[in-house]
Amino acid sequence: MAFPTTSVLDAFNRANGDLGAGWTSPIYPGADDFSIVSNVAVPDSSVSPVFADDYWNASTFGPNSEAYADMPTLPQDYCQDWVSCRLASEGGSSLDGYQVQYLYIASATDQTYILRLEGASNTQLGATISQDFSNGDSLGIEAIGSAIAAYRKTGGTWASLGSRTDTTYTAAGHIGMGGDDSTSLLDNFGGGTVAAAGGQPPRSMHQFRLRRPA
Amino acid sequence: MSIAWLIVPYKRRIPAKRPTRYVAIDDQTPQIYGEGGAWSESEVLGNRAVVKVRASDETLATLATLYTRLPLTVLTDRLSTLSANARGAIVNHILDMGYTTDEMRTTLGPDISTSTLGQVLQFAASRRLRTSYDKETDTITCDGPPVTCRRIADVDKDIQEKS
Repeated sequence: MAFPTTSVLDAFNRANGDLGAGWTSPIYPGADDFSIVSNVAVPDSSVSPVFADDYWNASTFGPNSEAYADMPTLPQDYCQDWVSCRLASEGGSSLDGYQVQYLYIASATDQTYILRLEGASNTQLGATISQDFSNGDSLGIEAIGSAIAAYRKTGGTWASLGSRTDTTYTAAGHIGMGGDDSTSLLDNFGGGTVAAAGGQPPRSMHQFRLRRPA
Repeated sequence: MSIAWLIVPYKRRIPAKRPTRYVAIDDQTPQIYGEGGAWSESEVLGNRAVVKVRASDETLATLATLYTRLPLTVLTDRLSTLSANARGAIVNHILDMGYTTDEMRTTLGPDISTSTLGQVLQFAASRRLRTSYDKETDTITCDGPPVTCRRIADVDKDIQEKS
């Protein structure tokens, strides 16, 4: 199945300042939020060490859901960017959800983790994924049933980095993004409820087929 | 390449800006995946995971020095093929996770030798506890409500023999 199946929700192409009404921070208790600087989202640096996240508050999505963002500038050495889905109880000690977290390592291959967020701590699902990223790549997460998958887009093409199975969270939730480096930039955040492949055709098309002469 | 079932503890990822734990066998991921192997896990009670791993005999021997390697590999293998000492060791590992003798007997019967490896591992994967984090002590603790574990049959499917 193709990834992503949903559109960009926010390209951040507006005046510098807070992300605005569509966003809420924090996801993790105590995290800072993002701001818009020169049409991209940048983690605020009032929390030390820098740690910022926001979720898209307009709607919950899913349970089959996805989220993604461009990374025009990768984080500094041993810093991270992430995207999340099936988020619930954000900002509290009962935080739930899934996250794909990218870690830039200057001296070795970059790492990506698929995480379960549980009680404001993370549990890594399965093995660390070793994959270098470049400036301009994108990071994505997809949760379909119990399969939680990580994606990377490079050169305009999305590819799966790996998938893990977890049945802890099965309900719809928010989607969000985060980063822990004020030089790390995120852009073109997208996501939502995964559009099913091979489902019923739209109602109007279905009726057209029924009326069509044999 | 060979197959093994292991009982592996979780450990903290350091450095990490948010409290994160992972199955300790991830420290050997480069070695395992580098030789064409793989592993998959189900988190169980007691901050542990039941892990199925495919790796070279040399790597499996190394893993056995770090973690608990079970002496059977196929889920339909019966514990009756093991010595009483080996069966007792498996029972002790499961009790160490936090299960009681009574609940083990209720599920597996009074004589564990009649059980298969799959039945014993699925019992071990009866439940886990939700984690909580204490900022004061910087500790992740498995002390919350019970949560359903990933099925052992699904872990088994993830990791298949490969010549």
